[in-house]
Amino acid sequence: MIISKIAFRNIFRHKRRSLLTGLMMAGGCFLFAIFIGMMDGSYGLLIDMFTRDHTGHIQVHRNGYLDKPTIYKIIDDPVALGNEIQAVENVRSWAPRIKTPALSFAGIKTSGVQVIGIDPVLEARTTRIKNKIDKGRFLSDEPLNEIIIGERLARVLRVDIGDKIALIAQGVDGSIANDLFSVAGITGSKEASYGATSSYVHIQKAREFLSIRNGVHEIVIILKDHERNIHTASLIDKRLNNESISVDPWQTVEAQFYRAMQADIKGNWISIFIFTVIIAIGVLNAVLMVILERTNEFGVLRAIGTRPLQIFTMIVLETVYLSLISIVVGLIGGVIANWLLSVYGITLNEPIEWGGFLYDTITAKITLRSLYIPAAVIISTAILVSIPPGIRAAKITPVKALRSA
Amino acid sequence: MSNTLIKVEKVSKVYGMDGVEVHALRSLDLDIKKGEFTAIAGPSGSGKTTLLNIMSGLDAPSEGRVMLSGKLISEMKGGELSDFRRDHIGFIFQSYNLIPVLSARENIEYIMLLQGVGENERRTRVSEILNDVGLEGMEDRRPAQLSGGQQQRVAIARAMVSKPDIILADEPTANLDSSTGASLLDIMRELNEKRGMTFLFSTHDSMIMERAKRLVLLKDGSVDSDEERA
Repeated sequence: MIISKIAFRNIFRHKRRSLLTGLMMAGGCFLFAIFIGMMDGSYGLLIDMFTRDHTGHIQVHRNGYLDKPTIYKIIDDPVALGNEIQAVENVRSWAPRIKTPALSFAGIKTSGVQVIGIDPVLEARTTRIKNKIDKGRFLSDEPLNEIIIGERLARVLRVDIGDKIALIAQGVDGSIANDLFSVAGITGSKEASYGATSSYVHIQKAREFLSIRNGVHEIVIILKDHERNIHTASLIDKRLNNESISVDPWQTVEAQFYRAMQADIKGNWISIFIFTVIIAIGVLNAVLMVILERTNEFGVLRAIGTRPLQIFTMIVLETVYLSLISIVVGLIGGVIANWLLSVYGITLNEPIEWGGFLYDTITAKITLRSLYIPAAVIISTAILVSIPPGIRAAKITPVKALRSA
Repeated sequence: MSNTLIKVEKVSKVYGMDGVEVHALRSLDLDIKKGEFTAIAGPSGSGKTTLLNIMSGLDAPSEGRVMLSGKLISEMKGGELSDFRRDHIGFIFQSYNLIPVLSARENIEYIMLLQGVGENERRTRVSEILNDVGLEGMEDRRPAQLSGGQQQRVAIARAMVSKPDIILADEPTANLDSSTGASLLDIMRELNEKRGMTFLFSTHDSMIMERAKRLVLLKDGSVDSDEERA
């Protein structure tokens, strides 16, 4: 207790040095909190855009579809499956899809497209495709020969709202599928590459186009809490209990995107590590200065009966107390900054593309880990760098230390 | 039963300085008995401080051995030696060497806290010793708020309060003016007579030598004279 009291009061002995060391730790904690807050906010936004606009949080397919997507891998009776899925805890909504690659024609222009048959009512409840319409309107509820295309495809085919597009593909019965669709809406902007070739038609029209009676290729699921998607996927899998069907979280569905994102996150952690090393060197320097200046004092403490371990504890505690004060200051600043960023964000002059999505605002999020990771990094760094000076102080020979007065 | 508190037997200390051997102590023998008020004096370099350091276990002899309260202190190490010093020896330094972030009361309590003495017992002992050294009313001041003489009184109180077997004082009056030094010596002498506390000084202050009941003079690392006084 007395050792702890001395350690705490020692912080205030050299106020300027403690202030500078504390500011370095508080600044580090503040920056870590913002860094993690922005990482969580930005990746959270990206995941939200990615899942809510396109993939959903979970997808259901016939086994093997993700490895080798073909029009023949069909899920039968999607409504019955959908009702089962809807009954699982954490599921917000679901939507069926039919997917096929096709060739699109408009006049002399041609381009490959991914045709996605959607149920306009269920899709609008599930994803935000309806909100992505920049021009024209969304698909009608009743099955009409309408199509939603991306802006890039519209430019390639030189079509606009109301123009006709011919689609050619292969039906499941081996026939050549071909039909004319009228452009009802155009999605996306010029730069975003993800989903640039996706074109949406009414699911009933897609069935007719591909000669599919009732089934679908995919069921997209949106959750109430997307962070529990892996767990929810296993719950759905258990509930469906169908060996011919696979239930996959978006991380599996878009494994390449997920891996790229993870690699990017790892890069950010490396930056945090480098920054931590810089802080550690600064704190180590300050603690070593303390040891050098107080050599005589440690000699006296040892002479009057303080054990080496108690001297060591005193040094470590001094650094820990200073780091705790710094953490509180740094985290208060970090939370305020993350809150401001989450509300107002930083608007970029030019939007940037990541993973096929356009960013025009850098945002942040106050997460639990944006609090405990900076705190843990700073306190563990403080403990770590105080160990060598602590050992040095504990090993001081009293008679030599007393001579240093 | 022997009355000897410290027994120094054939102690030598050799320092190597720039490749040259310096003999600080040469096969020195000395006994300190309980209740003594002894001054070890001698010119600079005669080995006073070295002897005190070896007697307290702060330094190890090159040869010979030191027994304190029946324990072979010259062979103790680490935590055992720290605990032994804490429980058996009180130190008074020339530069007071109080803990600057603790108040006078906390400085006095420090060793008792390390010993795990209970709060009530600590309070009683601190009150008594504050009275003995004349520091009532100043117990909450920090060292920087005390004069040199007051700081040395706190140091005396700190050294005595844990009831050690002996108090070793290295030039305790060197940084004080003569009247303050004299008054502190009177306090220590009174404590020696009242409580039977053993004091051993290393000094070349004539005031201490005059007040000492026994005067040991060192010369070139050996005892030159050893005189008992009334």
